[in-house]
Amino acid sequence: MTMPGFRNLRELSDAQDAGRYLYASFRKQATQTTAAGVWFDLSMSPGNPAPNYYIGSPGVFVPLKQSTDGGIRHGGNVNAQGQKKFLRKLMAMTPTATATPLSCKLLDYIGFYGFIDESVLDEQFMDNTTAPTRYADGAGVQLMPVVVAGQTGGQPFTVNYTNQDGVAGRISRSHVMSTQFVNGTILHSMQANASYPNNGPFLSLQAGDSGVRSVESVTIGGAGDVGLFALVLVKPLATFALFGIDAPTEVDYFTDMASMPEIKDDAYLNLIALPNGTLSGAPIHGVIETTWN
Amino acid sequence: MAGFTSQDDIINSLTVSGRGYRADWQKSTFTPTAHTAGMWYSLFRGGGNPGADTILGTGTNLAFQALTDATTNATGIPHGGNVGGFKVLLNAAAQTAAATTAPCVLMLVDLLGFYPITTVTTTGDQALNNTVTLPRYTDGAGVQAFLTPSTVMGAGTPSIRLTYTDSGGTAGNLTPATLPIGNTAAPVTQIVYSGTGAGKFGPFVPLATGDAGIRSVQQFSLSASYVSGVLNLVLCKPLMTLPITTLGVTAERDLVNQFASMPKVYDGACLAWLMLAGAATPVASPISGHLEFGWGA
Repeated sequence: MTMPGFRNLRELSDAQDAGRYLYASFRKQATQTTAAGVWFDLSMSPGNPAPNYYIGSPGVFVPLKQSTDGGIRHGGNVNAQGQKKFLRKLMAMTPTATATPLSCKLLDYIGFYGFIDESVLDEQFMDNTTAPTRYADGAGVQLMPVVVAGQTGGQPFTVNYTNQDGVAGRISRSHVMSTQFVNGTILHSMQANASYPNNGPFLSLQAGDSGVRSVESVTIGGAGDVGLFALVLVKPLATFALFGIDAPTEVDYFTDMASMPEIKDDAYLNLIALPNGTLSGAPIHGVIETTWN
Repeated sequence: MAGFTSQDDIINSLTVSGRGYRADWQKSTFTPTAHTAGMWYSLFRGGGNPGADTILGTGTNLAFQALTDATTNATGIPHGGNVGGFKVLLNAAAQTAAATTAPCVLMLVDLLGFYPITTVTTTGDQALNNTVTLPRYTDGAGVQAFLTPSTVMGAGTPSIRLTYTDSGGTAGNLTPATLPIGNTAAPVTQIVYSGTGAGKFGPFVPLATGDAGIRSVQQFSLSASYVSGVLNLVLCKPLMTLPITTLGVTAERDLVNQFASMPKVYDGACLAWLMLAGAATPVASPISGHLEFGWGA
C-alpha cells in the first residue's frame, strides 16, 4: 500500500493532472479600525469566508471545523481515502495602499474557549468536555487570545494549560491586555511598550514548551477589565506578506518555501495579519491551491 | 544521519513521512535596553515566545556551561526535538511593525554554551574552567564567541582579549590586535564591543589569522577594570542571516532553492537571534517570524 503524500515531484505533478487539486478564493475586508503593529484576526472580518464570531458558552471548548463553520475552503476530506492534503500555493493582493505592507499567517483554527470575562479575578476554569478534532497531541499548537468585546487594557493575565507532552499545570508567562480594543484584536499585541515584553501573536508558553493540548484555566490579574476574549487554539501553517499594491504576492510552498504544510481533514483555515495602520475597508483578495495524494 | 539526497527526498520526507517542523516565534527587544543604531544585541533575554532566558550570568564564575534545547532556564526556539542527528533549516521569515525597529539584520545562532564572568574588575588573564566541553560542533569548526552582559556593565572601556584553542586543536591563540574595546555602561543584551570605530567589531570576537573556529577558551583578559556588571562569554555557531529592510515588510528566506544552504540544526540546538540594530530601537519592540525544518531518513 502506498503511503499518503508525495514521494517525488512527478507524483506532485501527476496529482494536479489527475484533478487532486483545488483552487479556492477568499476575500476578506475588515470593517474594524486596526492599529499599526497590533496583530489582528481576519476571521472576524466580513467577506468570503463569512466572519467567525467565536460563539459558544463561556469557557467551553468549541471545535472549529470547515464542515460546520466554514473558513477558507480547501476541499473535502481525503484521509479516509488513504491520502493527505497539502497547501501548494497561495496568492494574495490588495488594491488599498494603506493596507500594505502587511504580514500574514495562515492558521488552522482548531477551536476556542469563548467569552472569557476580564472582570472576573477568580481563576476561571475551562470546560474540555469536547476534545479538539485536530492536533490532539498539541504539538505546535499555539494560544491566541482574541478580543470579542473591547477592553480598556493594561491588566495582566496568565493561562494554565496542558503542554504537548501531556504535562498539566503549565503556566504561561504573564501577558498584558493591550489598549487596542476593536473586536478581532489579538489581546496582548502591541506595537512596542515596556509593559508588553510578551507581545503577540501567540502567548508565551512556560519555558521548554512548544505546544498546547488543552487549557485548564485563565486568571485575570490586576484590577480586571471590562471586556471579553476568546482563547483560540491554532496551528500556524504558512506565512506570506503583501508588499505593495502593484503586484500580487505569490508563494509556491514547495519551490519557494520547501515546506508544503499539511492541511488536516476538516481544518478551519483563516488568516491573522500584522497591519501598519487601519485595514478598515481594505479588501484582501487571494486564492489558495491545495493538492492531495 | 538525517540529510536529503534529492528534491524528491525532500518532498517525500515532508509529505509522506512527516519529517518537518514549524516554529512560530516572537521576541521583543529586552525591556530595559533601547537599541542603538550600529550595535549588536542578543534577543535571547527578550520576552516573547519563547520567553526570556534566565540562565546567562548564573553558575560558577569562569566555568563553561553547555546549552541545549532542554537546559533549564535556557529558552531556545523549539525545533522539534531530537531526530538522531540533525535537521536542516528549510525556510525562515521575520517581520516587525514596531516603529524604528527596521532596518535591522537578524542572525540565527545555535548557542553552545557560555562562561559567566563576575570578576569584571580583575585585569589581566583569568583562567577559564573547561571541565564541561562543547555539546555540539565539538571540534570548534565555525564556532564563534561574543560577549554580552547579564547585569549592566560599569563605566569602563577595557580592551578584551581571549586566549583560545582553535578548531584545529592548536592552543594559545590570541585575539589579534586591534583588540575589541568594551562599551562603557554596556546594557544587558548588548554585544559589548559592537559599534563603530577602532576596536569595535560585530558580532563576534575576531580570531587569529587563519583560524576557523573556537574549540575552547583558556584565558579571558580585560586591560582595565570594567568597574561593575556581569559578562557572559558565549560560544555559538552562526546559522543564517535575515535582514529586515522595512517596517512591516516580511523578510523571507528559502534556504533550499533561493539560498541553497540548508543550514544544519543539530539535536539539542539552542536557537536564538542576534540583532544588528539599524536604527534607534525602543525597548520591548516585537519581532516575529517562523522557522521551518525538515530531516531525512
